[in-house]
Amino acid sequence: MSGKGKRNATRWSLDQLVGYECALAKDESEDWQSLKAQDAETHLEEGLLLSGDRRAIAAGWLKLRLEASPEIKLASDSVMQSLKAAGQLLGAGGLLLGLASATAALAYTGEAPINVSAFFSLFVLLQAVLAVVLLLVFAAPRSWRERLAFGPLFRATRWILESIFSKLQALSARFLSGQQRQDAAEWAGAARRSLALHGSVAKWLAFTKIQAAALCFNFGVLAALLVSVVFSDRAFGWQTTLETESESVGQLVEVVSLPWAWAYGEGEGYPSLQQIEGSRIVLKEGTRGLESVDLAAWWRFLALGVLSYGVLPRLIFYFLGKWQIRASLARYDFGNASAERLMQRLRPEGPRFDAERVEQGAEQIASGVGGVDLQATTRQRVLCLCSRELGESFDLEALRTRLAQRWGVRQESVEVKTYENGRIAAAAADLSEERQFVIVFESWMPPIREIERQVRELRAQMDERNLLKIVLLGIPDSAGEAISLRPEKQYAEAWHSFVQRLGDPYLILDNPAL
Amino acid sequence: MKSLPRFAIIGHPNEGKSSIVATLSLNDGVAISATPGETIQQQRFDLKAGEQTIIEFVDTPGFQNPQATLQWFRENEEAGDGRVKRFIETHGDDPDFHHDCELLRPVLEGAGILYVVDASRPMTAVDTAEMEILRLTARPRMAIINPKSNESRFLQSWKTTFRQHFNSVRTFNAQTARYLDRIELLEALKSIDQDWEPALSEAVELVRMDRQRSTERAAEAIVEHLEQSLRCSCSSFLEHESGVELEKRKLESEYRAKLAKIEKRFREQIRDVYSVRKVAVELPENSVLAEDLFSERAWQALGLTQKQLAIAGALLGAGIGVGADLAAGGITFGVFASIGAAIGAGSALWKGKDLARAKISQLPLGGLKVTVGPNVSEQFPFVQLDRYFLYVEFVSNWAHARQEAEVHLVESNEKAGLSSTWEQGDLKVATRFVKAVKSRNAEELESSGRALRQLLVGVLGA
Repeated sequence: MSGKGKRNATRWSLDQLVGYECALAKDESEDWQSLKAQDAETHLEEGLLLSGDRRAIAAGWLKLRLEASPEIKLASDSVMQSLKAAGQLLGAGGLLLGLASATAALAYTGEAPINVSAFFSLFVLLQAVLAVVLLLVFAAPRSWRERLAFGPLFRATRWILESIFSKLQALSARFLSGQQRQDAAEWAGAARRSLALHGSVAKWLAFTKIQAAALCFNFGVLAALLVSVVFSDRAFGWQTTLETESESVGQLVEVVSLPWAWAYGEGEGYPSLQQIEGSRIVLKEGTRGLESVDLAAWWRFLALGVLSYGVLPRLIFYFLGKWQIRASLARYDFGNASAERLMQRLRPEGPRFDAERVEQGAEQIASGVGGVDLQATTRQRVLCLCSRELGESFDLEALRTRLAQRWGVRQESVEVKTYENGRIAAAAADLSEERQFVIVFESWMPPIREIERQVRELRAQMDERNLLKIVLLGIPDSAGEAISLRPEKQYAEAWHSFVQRLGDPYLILDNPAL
Repeated sequence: MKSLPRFAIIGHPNEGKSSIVATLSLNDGVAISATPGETIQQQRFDLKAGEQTIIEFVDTPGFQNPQATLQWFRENEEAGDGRVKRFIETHGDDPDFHHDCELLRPVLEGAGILYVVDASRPMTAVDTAEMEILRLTARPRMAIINPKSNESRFLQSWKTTFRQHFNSVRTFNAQTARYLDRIELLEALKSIDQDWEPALSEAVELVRMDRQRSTERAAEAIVEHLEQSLRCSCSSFLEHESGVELEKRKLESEYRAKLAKIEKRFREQIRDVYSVRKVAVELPENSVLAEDLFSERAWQALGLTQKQLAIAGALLGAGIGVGADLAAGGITFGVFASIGAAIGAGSALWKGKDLARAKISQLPLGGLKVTVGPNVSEQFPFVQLDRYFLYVEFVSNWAHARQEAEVHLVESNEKAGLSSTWEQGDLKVATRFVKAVKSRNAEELESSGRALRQLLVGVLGA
């Protein structure tokens, strides 16, 4: 495949991403074995699987998945159609608002000319200022932008919202059952996870839609101006209480007209000094003395002003937004937990998560059947963190062997370190980021706040895009098994919910047994 | 005013604390869920004898920060016995420590500690931290093993650790605990603090008395509803003979519905007697109590054995014969009684499931009266009595925590009711009552009813 062809194959569109999320969401409720069987039937090209290119593998899988499951395509299309409809509604709203506001500003009874200054300020100057502010925001260094975004206003708003949320939470806790509270927390976690993964795309998508709506607004203004000029006789004039000379106004007009002055010069694209002088309204003198030609000279200036300072910047921003969406899609990281899970699913004959003894999978890997996209686990060393008490109750060497077998890596690559009094982050503090961090917990202990805090602390000192794994120990069976990596379903469900609630897109439950 | 014994049920989330509270306080209003973290506030549930509160149980949320809490306790050793108070003061406003403060609050207020743990799993660092915190509170405490499975490999290590941290250790399965298990646990609570012994002894005595009252009420309900079932009948009037068959079928179905209604009323009353109000006591499909009263299976499993039936039939039949002898002025020298006994024994052996036969009688002023019931089978009173008795036994041992579990009664082709275990003396008491109901002799009914009640109280209270 040529470089361009390969780029096209791995370039993701918004439709694909939505489809991908819909497919993963649907698979969430399926059990692991059904998913493996389902993926085996999709016959993904082996060469693609062996390439290790996650983006291309995911794209290939999605294509086959959408073909096999029309309901996912339908769900994805529905989301896209909804986005499109929202955009269209916004656009129509902008157009109507533009038409209405411009028509109101162009209201003319014949008693006095339309005030150019008001129209100019509202539809040209204000938009120009907004465009400049936006440009400055884009041009400003990231640290400035963050300081602006997370400034006192942001902090105050956040404090207010947090207080309200906390009060609502306390209030709702009185009425909701434990299951309902858990569902709500999982829902919030899913929202946080989506925001972390797709926040950039969502932000630029919203930006693009807003720019499209603003573009429509300007078209509305322009249409109202042209219609009123073409189909009615309108007089435009300017007035001021200040001691302002016409020359100053003329200079200002010349500066404003710079973008189009090369094509439409004085008298055409903008009024000449004489026309400016001739369209000045002095109330005590009335409008009788003003020349009709001078009074009609302003409309082209206003129309070109709207075009240059309204339509053009919005168009640029619109395409900038589109470009940023593409860039965000290109930046989408397929190293997150959901993608990792998909890769594990697609790994042919790989070790299973549940029910099965780990040796089976390990044997297969050792015989060379597996080994596809082991990426995170094969390239780097793995550090497993366990509590000291766990180390006292279980054979950590057996755990190391089991985990190495499970991930198909050399035993020397897996290091087991113990921590005391729940200080997980402290135990991992001085270790290099090159390692894959894995926390081992006893599945039979339902996750509590303390564990949540410990996981968050560890995450805070890691790169937010580094995969963090949780491995659950099962209760060893009575046949003298030293270590079990098969958590019971009832326990694993609580941990699955815990991971969901945290909303960390790079946190993965390695053996969910679901 | 004398303070009541108060116990805080404490433990890790999802260890069955609320189940223990529900079962001990006989309160099915306690929120229980398989989802960890159902309880978020401390909540008091009183064990009452009648209207009198005798023990207070406080359901608490599970530990959320045991290791951090233990660390704080160790760092604040100088606070001594005031550690719990200071901990709550320090962390009271921290939402992260809300659950930990909530569970320690009743301890601060002087409650004894019942630490609940599922010992069918291995011990962890978190468990050790929790136990150490409770030891540091210096309050009287007992460990309750609430096993969620039959796994016993880890039990010994749990017990060894418990002995280091607790005054007493008991095994108590909240899902299956019967009345006697509850009493035993309440008795055991005395051992964790001598100061509570008199109050707890009194409480246990009150519980026993309350139970006795409930048993008496249940026995009374059985006798009362058995009388209603035995008297139950339906009748209607017809002008012509043409519609008799149709009317008979209609009345049969009405009769069955009426019996079912009596049984439903009885079950409601029994649930009320044993305070099982909020949770629907669902009988499983394979339970003989879920069977229709007239089903083949119910009649196979309940009622008297063939031998008992012959005796009962003889007792009933002889009674009728004695009546005839008396009517003849005693000149028959008991011949009728002998004949009656023989007929009674023969008829009792006959399968009597559908013996709610319709009787058609001609009315003096024209027209017909069709009557279905009362049931003439000698077996029927005993089948019905067994159903009532089994239901009482089932509800009286209902663990209030058993909100989600199904209850399976033993399925067997052998007789499973009470009456089949009766000796001739008991059978005589029951038969006397049946006869009194049939003969509508008020005095005899009163006296035989009392005897049957006593018999049932004895069996239920055993």
